[in-house]
Amino acid sequence: MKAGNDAARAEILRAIRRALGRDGPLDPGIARALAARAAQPHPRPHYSAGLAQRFAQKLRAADGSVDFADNLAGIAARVDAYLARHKLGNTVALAPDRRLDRIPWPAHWQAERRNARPGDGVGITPAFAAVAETGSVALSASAQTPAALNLLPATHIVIVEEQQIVPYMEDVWQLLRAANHNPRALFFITGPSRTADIEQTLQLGAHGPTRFFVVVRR
Amino acid sequence: MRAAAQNNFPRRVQVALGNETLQRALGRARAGFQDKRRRAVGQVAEFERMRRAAKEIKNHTLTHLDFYLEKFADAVRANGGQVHWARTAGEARDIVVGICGAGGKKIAKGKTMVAEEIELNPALEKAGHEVTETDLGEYIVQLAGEAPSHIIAPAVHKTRGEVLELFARHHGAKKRGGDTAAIVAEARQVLREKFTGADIGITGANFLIAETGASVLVTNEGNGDLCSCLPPVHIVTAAIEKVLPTLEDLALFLRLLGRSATGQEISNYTTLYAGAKREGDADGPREFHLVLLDNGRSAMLGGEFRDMLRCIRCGACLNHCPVYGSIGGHAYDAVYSGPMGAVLTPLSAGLRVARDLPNACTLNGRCREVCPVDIPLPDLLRKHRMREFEQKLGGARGRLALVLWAFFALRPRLYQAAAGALLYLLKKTAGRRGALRKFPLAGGWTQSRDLPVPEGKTFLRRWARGER
Ligand code: SF4
Repeated sequence: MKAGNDAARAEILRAIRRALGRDGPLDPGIARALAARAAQPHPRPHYSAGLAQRFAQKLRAADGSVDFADNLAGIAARVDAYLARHKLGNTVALAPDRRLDRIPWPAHWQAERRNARPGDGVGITPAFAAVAETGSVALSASAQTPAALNLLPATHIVIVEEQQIVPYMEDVWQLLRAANHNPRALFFITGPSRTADIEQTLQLGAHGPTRFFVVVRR
Repeated sequence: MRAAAQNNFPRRVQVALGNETLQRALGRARAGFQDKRRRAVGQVAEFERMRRAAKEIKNHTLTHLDFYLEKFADAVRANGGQVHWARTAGEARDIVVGICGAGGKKIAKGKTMVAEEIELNPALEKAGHEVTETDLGEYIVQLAGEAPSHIIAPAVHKTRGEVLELFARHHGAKKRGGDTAAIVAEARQVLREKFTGADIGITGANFLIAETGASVLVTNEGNGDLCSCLPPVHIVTAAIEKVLPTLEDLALFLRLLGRSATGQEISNYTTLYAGAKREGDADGPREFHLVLLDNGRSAMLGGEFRDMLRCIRCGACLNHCPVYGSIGGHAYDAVYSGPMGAVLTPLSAGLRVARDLPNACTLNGRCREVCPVDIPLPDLLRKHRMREFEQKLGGARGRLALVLWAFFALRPRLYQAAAGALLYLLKKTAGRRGALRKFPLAGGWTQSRDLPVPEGKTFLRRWARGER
């Protein structure tokens, strides 16, 4: 297996080099120059709205809901109101993350700090960052932030600090580089899951969450 | 391979054109896709500049493909993943079957065109595994025993009624009702069990990032992420041209992909996967495998079809092609359909067997205009036709043109724009009047100029204005 794989690798690389008119790897000088090519900015859509405003507008356009809170208690109140408004009960799976631990969740909830289970109604996770351009939240997978919590619960709620909202996806790359962090999974989620596979008719709640709600703390 | 059947292209075109259900489905899809893309692209002043930058990045990457592939593979290994290099479709199949091991595994699959290309499902089933497609469109065509008919909308040829029938037949008592919401809810329930019970998840990748070793998966349903996150083993199948140098490059391509494919600024779920579960992680697969497929691509790199390797499989050229819009994907009888398929299929199956496909083109140029990486699709099709001519593979052009003409002549109002396109094709391919006179049905057109079809110019103007 290993030998076969090495042979296949060598042959594919050889075929590529032949096609490119080279007989060996790139000249080391060129390779070094290419390595330094990282992080080139490219043309991208410009916008003038403020970050929080743009974020909310774009996420709503993607069928997500957004609310704002002024403090930790406000976050709990906004989420509680959302659950009541949509009759989602008060059983909640919370990411086992200290950013959520600081929030005074309502006493009448049955809140569990754990990963998602099939059949969960509501999951709450903290964000790694948020992107104003597209109204997306960036969520990384880790010990404190399980990936399945982003996917299995019927309603996914994300808590974002306003200063976590960055203008563009490229700014998330800068955050990762600054932290020397390459998460196992990094999700950009923009609204509830959807499909248009039946006659091009948009239907929310395909396989992932049916509802997507973000609370931004100012 | 489906190659043998390629000879029957004119026949399949005729069948497709006569299929009223298919025609309705295609008409609706075409309108929807074109509107959405036009709106999304129109909102970005920088779109053309983004498109040019994307083309440059792809060209740069292809010129240094060995370097970026090695860099990517090293990064995947550093992330705790395993990289498997596959020269051919057969080799890739064997690798995946090998990873899956003894038969009896439950496999949940996300949409991957590479798996279609290597005909993975039959091989896995033969090895005794149960394979479930989880993208709703893919699931529908799997139940129907069909192949996808569009690279991003696999069941675009199916009507709601047909899906209802399929579900009733396969889900039995679970049938709940008729509207789209009920269909989606039913699929959600059935497939939930497939995700949570799966031993192995298989997905494709939209992009591979050399800088970090990430495989990037773009979906709207979230099904690919469930396949990637829940099962203990995650296998990604991807082709070598998917690699991009940096995360900055990725951001640019995501902006182009969403707008070109579905008119979205970004798809709902865009996820970067970098290897297996790490120590302390709450979840994630304990094994991460990446299968890198060549299957003829390194040969394309050295030839006159290199431009085609820029393709990001967005589907825009299909959505704007009057021929695809009239006959659908199945008529091509190949993994890839539409303009990009008409370029790729003769390269993989051979020009002899796929010789009719490059002729199914009106040279209206829309495909190139909408292609986010500016692939000169009409020029590449012309190259195929020149080779055909050189190799004296005079195909079924005449027959094909006749069939198309007959269809549109009978439905002038309904498909006026497309009719113009296809008459143009007729002129170009069936050729001069002399050749046309041989067809009894074509007499009406050759003898009289007032057949109810627009002039070629009118057609191009209409398409430019986006009318249908
Ligand atoms: S050829 Fe261009 S338009 Fe067609 S699928 Fe590929 S990238 Fe998209």
